[in-house]
Amino acid sequence: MNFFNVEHEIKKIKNELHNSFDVVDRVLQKGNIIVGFIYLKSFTDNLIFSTAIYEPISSFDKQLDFDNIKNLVQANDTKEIKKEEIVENILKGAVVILTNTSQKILSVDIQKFNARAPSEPPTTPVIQGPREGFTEDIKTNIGLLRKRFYSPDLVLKNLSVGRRTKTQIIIAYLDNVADKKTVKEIEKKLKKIDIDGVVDSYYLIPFLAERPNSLFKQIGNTEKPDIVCAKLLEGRVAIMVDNTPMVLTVPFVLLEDLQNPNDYYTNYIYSTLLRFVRLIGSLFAILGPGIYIALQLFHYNVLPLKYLITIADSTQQIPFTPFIEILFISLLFQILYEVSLRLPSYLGLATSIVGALILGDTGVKAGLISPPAVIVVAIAKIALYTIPEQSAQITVLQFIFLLIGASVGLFGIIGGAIYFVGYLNSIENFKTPYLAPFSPFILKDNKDGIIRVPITTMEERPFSFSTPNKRRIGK
Amino acid sequence: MMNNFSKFIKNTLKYPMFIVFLFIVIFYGGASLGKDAESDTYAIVTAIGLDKSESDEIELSLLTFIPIVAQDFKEKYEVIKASGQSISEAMDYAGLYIGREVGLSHVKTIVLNESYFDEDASVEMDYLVRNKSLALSTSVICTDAKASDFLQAIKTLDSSSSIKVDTLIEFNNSYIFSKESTLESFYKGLYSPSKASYISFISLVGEDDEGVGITASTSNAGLGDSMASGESSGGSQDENKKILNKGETFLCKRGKKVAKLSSEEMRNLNFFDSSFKHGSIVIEDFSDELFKNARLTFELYDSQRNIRAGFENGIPIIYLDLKLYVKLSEVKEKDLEIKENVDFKNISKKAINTLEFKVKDLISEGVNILREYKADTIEIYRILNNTDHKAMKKFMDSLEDKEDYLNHVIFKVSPQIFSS
Amino acid sequence: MRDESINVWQTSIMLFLLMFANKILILPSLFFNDANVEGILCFIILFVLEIALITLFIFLKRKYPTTSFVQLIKEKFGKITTIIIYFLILTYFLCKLVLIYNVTYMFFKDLIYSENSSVLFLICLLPIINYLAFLNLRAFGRTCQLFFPVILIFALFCVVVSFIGTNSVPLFYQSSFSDIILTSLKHISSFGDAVFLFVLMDKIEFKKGDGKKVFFFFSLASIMVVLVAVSFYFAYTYTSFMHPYAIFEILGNIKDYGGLGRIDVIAVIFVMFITYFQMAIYLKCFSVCFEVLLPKLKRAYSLVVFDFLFIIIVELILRNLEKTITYGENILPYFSIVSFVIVPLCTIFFLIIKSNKERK
Repeated sequence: MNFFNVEHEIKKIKNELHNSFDVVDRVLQKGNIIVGFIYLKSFTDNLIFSTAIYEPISSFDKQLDFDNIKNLVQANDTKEIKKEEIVENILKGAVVILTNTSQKILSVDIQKFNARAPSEPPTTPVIQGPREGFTEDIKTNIGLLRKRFYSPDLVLKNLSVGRRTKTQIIIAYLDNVADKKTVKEIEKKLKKIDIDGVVDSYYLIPFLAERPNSLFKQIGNTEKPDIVCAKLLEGRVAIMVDNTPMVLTVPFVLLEDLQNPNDYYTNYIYSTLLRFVRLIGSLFAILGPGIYIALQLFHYNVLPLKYLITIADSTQQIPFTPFIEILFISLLFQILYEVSLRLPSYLGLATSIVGALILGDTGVKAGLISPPAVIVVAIAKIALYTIPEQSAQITVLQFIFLLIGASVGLFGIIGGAIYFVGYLNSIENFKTPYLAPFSPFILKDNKDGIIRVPITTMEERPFSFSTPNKRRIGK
Repeated sequence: MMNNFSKFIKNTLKYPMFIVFLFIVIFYGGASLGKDAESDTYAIVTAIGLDKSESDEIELSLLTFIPIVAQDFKEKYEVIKASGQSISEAMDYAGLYIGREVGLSHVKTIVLNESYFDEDASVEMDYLVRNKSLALSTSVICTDAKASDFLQAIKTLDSSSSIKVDTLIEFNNSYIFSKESTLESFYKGLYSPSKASYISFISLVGEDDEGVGITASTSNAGLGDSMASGESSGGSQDENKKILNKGETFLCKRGKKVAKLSSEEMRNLNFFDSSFKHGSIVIEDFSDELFKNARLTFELYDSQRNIRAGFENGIPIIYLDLKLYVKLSEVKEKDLEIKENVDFKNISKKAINTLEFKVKDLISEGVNILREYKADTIEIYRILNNTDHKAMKKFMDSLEDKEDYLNHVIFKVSPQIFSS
Repeated sequence: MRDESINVWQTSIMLFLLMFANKILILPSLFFNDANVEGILCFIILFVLEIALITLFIFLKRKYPTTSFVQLIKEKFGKITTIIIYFLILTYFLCKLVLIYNVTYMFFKDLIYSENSSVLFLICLLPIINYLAFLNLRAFGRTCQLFFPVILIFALFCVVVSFIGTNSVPLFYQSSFSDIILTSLKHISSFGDAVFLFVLMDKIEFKKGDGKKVFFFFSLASIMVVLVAVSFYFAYTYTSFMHPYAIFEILGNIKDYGGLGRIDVIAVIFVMFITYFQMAIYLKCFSVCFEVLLPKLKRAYSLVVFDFLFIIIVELILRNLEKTITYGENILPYFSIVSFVIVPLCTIFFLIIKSNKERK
């Protein structure tokens, strides 16, 4: 009895795949059984196909049937699939095996892709501590995560998002540690996504965040498996997306970006000090240029005489008004930053020389810009990277406060600060206050806030979001 | 197209704060693009000088910081002169002359010519107190020279050395007589029960005069009135003058000078002040088993005082218990033999007694000056009133001249000297 | 509803923030004008009244933990009385807002915004306080909570450093008891801020023993206010009446602190923060009262009405400090009947009825 006209089916599948050049089909006839193989040569391991699939089947000297074929295939990842799943499986790097004697279809995953080896991510370098980073290959990434949990508690849920890309997405969490409601909500939100493709994990963020159009980052992201591991242990949920090393974590609070992996691999007193530095640095980055221009344009009288003399003397020869001057310098720094980011490293060095020496020093000497303005903007631009994860937000805020400072002075800056804090306080992603544990103030969570206490005293998981099991140390 | 636009407007209206931000940036930010720094639109004044002309006009001099194109950030000052019927009028003219608004928020010193204190100076100083940008902690100095010349001297000092006149006054405040000479202290005294206050006096002397002056050259060239009225002396005619700070002080009653006290006279009142911890006391012509007709100088290195008040039969009494910790710092004797075992620490009982009498004498001298001028600058009224206000009221009611209460107060001073 | 609730910490912080503003600006000087240094006693008397108001609130909250004040009034006095009382409370908050705005505006105008008009000031202030009042109460409470440490540090700095400038002792016993009482009554409108607790009563999550927290924050704030007044009188003694802005002046009295030059800017920043929060809290209360009067209108309408009335009053009626002080001394005390008479009487009435019922 013929269930499939194998050759016809293969032709149909190839048509469905638009006869792409890398679609390969092989037909094997043994007695009255016809076995058809179809796969993508660019995405599968041809050697495995020959040795572990084709060879055992072709050299089998007894009567072939589907069950025999299934047993003969020497690959781990085999599964029976439905007819409508054929194309999807081929596209995911599987060999699909059809026979004319059975309705069943076999899919053998022999995907082969030259993935990048795990290396230290450039976004989060550490002085001490693990240097491994996620890669673009989700299987490698899962492996990196599994390696850290020899426990059945790590749950990985598979989903695919994207009408055209069918991108694989893994929701990872620890059973009995992560809140089930949060997991369900994430799953619900991900399943609801109707987009043609997910190129990077960033594509998912607007679908997961409470305020998708907001400037502020509401979903955590990291390239490091040790950070994901720590976050899972806190009761958070990780979302891994294929083809990107960026893993998302939820719920996210602003404090997470103030924390740095280095903090946990060095002395707690030192890391507390560094957190204060980061806080002051980021505050200076946001408010520094705005306050400077406000003092110059509106409140010269609050400047001590010595500083006033220095500023007044140094701005005498400048052809621009203070606001234009500081806008010009800020823009100049931003251009240099953009250029140095995109140029190859050997050219990047050249741009920094041009930027620092020629534009900065010569600009001052030529009387185009004043040294105090250069210093203020330079410190602000450097301080921006005390929290590199928030550099985009801080850059925008820096410009906003610069405009406010120049427009309405110190009173406006304070008003602006109150507005933004009010706005951040109104954000609650996955029922987690965005500025927790500072507002609302959660004393226990402040053990790992600005101040970091030793790990031995961090006995409980964060209280800012719900977790079924709060104890980390002891029962 | 229109549809899209209205959609855009509708969406934007959902973010009112964004509209507010845009409004601020467009209207105020736009205006700020062309706005100069306030340091360029204001003349930053660091000292004010006030003189009176013969026609009773106010001659205002402002020591003003002038920003210059230089990388060494040196302070460059100019003295701007202007005159008018009132200070505010003169200020307006000064602003006109320099082409900027006059900014007084960085004023540290106000120099007044002594003629101001021939009448109630508070009337003339009214503008300075009402001006909110002027800190009330600004030092006030009185001088016998023209205030404008004094500012010229300050200008040279400020531009060429690290010596600042306001620090001279502060030094006065902390070490010489423990009394401030600021706008605030002047008015505080003025509104006190005896209406008495102090103003520091610093004179401007010629280069050859004696004293611990600081040489500063004054030139008559300046911006403002002199230039505007063509009275410029034709270039810089340098005349070396010294600012001489001898610690002299004007004692004012109701804002009017009643006496000029020397630093020694002022020091006598130091014994009432808790911050008086350093100084020296001299005994002349002292003889005992160690010294003969010697001049002994004792240095005070610490002190404690307790001022109490009481009323006996309606008469107010002030008890001043003093503990003075001194060491013998200098001996001047004709035939002093410096022996190996001469130990300055072993001061005889007689010396201590003499010292105690000396302290009493000094205090008495100080109090007598205050009694003479009915000037209660040591706040005896406050001490008595806060101790027993009913008795004080009774006492005051019994007086014919309500301001002459010091003459009726008995001072009981008991000094204890401890030598190391 | 959950969004519209605040915990007791946030409530206490709001109370703390309301204790400052003109109490540390013009009030010490005005008290000195009428009661000399005994003005300190005026502060203490008025704070005692405030404590009484808070105590009443705590009693009421214990008896009726989830009921709103408006429900209680409606239940006992009927709808019309409720509308009248809430209209008076609403007017009271509007008056307070105007008073605070005018005092702080004059303060900033005198000191750091000499060249700018009130329009700039309003453009900064109105959108922010409108936004905070429009925000759900929980987010607003959290915002107060986050800024609290910053404000506390500024306040402590001002209080501690101001003592450096005190080098004299003022003259006591210059005012009679009646002077003190009359002065207190004259400036009673600057107090009675605790009435906001009644307006937001149902929105405050209150557990047993939380009263202590409220009292702690209130005491902290009132001690700081009294310390500011004390250091002000001790720094300026006879000339205290000449200095309208106490907190600023006591810092200005200190010369070149740490080489920084004028440290009074700290006081200015402190007052800026306080102004925003205090006005936003009052506006929130105004908005809540408005919703009681016109329940069908959305919250945004209350803010529009407020903005309209506010701009008319501050721009057309009260344009300078003298007028504001006259208004604060002569007209506003009558509105204080709301905070010190009407609200406490209603509360006492409920509590008595409740205890009578319990006895039966």
